[in-house]
Amino acid sequence: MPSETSGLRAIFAAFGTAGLLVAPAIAAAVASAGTDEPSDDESAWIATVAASSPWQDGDPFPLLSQLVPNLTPSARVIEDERTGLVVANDAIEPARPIEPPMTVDAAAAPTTPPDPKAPPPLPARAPMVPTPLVDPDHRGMAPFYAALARGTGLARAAQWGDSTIAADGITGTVRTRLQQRFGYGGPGWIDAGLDPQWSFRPGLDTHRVGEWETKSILLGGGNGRYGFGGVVSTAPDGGYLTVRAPAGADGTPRPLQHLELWLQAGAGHGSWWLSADGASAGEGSASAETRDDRRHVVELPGGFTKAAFGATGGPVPFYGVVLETSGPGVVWDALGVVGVGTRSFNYFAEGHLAAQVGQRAPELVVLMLGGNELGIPVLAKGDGMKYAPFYKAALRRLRAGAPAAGCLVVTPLDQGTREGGRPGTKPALSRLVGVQRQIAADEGCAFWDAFAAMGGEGSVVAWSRKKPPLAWADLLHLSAAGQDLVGQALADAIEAGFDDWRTTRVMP
Amino acid sequence: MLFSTFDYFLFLPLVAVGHWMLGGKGARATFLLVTSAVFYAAWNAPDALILAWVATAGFVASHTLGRLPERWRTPLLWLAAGAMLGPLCFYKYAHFGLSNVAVLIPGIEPWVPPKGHLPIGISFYSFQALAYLIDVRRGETPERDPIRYATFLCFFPHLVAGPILRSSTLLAQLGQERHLSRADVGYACWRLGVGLIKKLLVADVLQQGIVDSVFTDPGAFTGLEVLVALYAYTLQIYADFSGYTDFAIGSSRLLGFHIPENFERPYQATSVADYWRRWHKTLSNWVRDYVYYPLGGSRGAGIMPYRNTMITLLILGVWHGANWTFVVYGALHGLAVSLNRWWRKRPGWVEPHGPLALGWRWALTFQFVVTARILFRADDLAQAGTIVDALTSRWEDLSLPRYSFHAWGVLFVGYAVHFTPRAWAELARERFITLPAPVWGVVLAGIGWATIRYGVGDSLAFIYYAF
Repeated sequence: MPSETSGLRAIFAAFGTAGLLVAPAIAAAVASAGTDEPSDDESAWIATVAASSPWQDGDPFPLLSQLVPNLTPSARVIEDERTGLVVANDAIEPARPIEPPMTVDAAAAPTTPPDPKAPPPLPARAPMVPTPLVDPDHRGMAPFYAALARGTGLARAAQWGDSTIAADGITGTVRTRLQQRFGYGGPGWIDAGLDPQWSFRPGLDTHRVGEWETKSILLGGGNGRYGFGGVVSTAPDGGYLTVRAPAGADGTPRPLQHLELWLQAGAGHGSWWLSADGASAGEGSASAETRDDRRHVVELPGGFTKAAFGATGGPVPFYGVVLETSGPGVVWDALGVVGVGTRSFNYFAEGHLAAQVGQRAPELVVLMLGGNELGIPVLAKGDGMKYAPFYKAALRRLRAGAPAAGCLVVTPLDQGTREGGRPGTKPALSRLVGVQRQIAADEGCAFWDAFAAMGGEGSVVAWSRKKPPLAWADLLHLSAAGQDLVGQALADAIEAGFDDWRTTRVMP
Repeated sequence: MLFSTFDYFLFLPLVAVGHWMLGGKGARATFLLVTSAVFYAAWNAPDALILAWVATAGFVASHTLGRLPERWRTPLLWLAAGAMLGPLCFYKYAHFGLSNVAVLIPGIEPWVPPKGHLPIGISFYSFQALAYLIDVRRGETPERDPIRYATFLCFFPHLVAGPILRSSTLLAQLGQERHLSRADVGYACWRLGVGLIKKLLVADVLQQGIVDSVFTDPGAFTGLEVLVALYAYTLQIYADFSGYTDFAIGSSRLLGFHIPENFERPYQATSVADYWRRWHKTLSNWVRDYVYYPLGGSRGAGIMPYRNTMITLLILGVWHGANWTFVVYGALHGLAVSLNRWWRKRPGWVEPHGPLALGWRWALTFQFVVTARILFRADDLAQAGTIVDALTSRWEDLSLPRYSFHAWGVLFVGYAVHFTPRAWAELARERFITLPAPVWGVVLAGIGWATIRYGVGDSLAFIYYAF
């Protein structure tokens, strides 16, 4: 025993000291439990110390819960999603549905018959919570629904947003779903840059030649002119981009009939050219004394499957191309720029964006923004309504170009953070959702709560643990499968809204 | 319970104090067996029955072996091996093997068990029990004390992810008087602290900040981003597994045991064979002693050494999991080692020396190891193909990969530290041990605070728990 004495003393000294240092943090965690926001300096100090605690109130009781797993209600054995191993007693709350689906007990059910005019329930897509559009009297969506019901031409929707939209996962699914029902309208707007940093278009075969320079509304630098999609890409002399039409079910490209090229004229610019299936579809000079936007439209009733455009004789800034069918059908433009927020729209020169939107003439303007703004001070406390002017300004800039178009506000997806030692939803998100819901009501827009549809608080953490994962481990972005799920749910809501509009509207 | 949790840092000192307060080897061994059983049952109590089965089968067989006539010993060894490896085969390989039978032999549709959960640590303790039995068959005296034998197999610091111990290492120490010095405690604190840093501040940060995002959706990233993620994964898996080993060695030392190292700066290797001498050394030694040497090793003419190498590396690969990715992983490494051997055995070949030759050999080896990690990370060959596709496309965009500065910093610093001389770490450790014991506690608490402040929150499972 004597030989162990020095070792035992060292154990007590080392681990005892560590314990003494950790104990105040644990005590602070216990003291600050249940207080969401510090009310004075002292409680703020306690909260700061508590954040350093290895154990937080609500976690399973340290050590004892490991040895007696049922000791605390929140302790439960979980399996690692990737390996199938039992890895830990998890302390993370499961996703909490905002509005859990109602179950009806037949015996206890009211005797009143169901309302035959009530819209049918939305399809269940676990782990999503069926979430309809909030759109009283269909005032936000009516112009788009009318275009869908028209049966001729194209019904166009344009959805602006950040990386969630730039990946074209959600928009791609909505586009596919609506095109399956209402007709194939083609891929629609495609940013000229197609730079992976700014936008993806999965399923679209593109090839870019030359050193293109891209500017976007994320960092500016484009003299206020970023085109319809918020991205301007300058092709060098000899640079060009080819785009092949997406393939249909048989694997061959589906022919398109409508081609547009959007570009910028200005001093020192070269000439542009456009081709369809190798044949010239137009050319012209992009040189002008003052900056100006140009749009070249070509109708090709015989159809084409490959378009190309480029610059000769000098650089030419391009905004994008439009590839569409002659209809009837639907086009759902994906206009996402990675990293942007509402204030990024201030980079647009006065009148430029409105003119661009006016030329594209969508029947529906969709805005899904705010995911990159959860850390701004105005959302840190209170009801967050000081954020409202930023969002309204962006929405109004977009709607100014298409005042007759419908309007849909989509909230950001759930976003997680690991601050404080436990993954959970960013605190500002619920405030942001509340603000956007209010703005949608004020501005006459339809509203879709993507956050609630995912399952609300903590859902992205649960999604990241699905197998295969529905969300990336950064707890900010969804995987392709997760985006598809959200897209399906949004399409469900739009289709259900359309069906309800069709049955309840007053026929002329 | 995970090593890198607050729970474990409460559990370990309690066990250590309890252990040293007891007098006598028998009482201490019993105490360690009980605490190991509690530790293991905290994961999933029913799995402890499988561990108990393997331990019982191993103990009974090792005692019966010596009492049987010589001609019965080998059949008994096979029988016992079957009994001990049965759960491993069922839980880890049956689904894979039987589902592939249906593919490889048309017309046969065997019953395929569901792909259920894998009892944690089953590969480690099964291999260790088998090695012990083989050693007894080769002439070692079997352990008579069932408590001591069970403690050797179930000793919690190495139970779930190694190092794979030989009876000559741990069983011998269980039978000896052990002592705890102040330096032992200092050494243990150092290894526990290093383990915390590697696991929570390197491996988990890289996993959350780079690796998981990219490998969940490789098509959404540029080729450069996927490449960076591959390097990040290579560092992550090292930090993860060697961090686990640091915990295992540190915890063992606190209980008076000296267990072997498992890593020796593996990415400094200058050949693939050298890599396997530095990576998961106890497993490499296991397959060397129980597979490679019995097959004939490097002796023999013609293709025999190459055949032995291929078989050994294939087993090394498949040990990690029942999946074609690990078969191909093992085969690739086997081919690399064989090619290297063939090259160096050519008549007239003179091994070049000097920094340039060394640098070239290191670069080639490192790139090979990194590339092969695709198979280690992918869930199946199709996903490996997807990762390769993503790795080779979108190279027209060379903009800075979209990872946080935090993740970038960890990646650079992590590799920089890995390529420092080993002597530096040893010197730092020696100096740490000379500090007063309360300072060790301050350092540990400081590292704990840093993991909360700069880590990713909940500790993630160790990668090698899956094996």
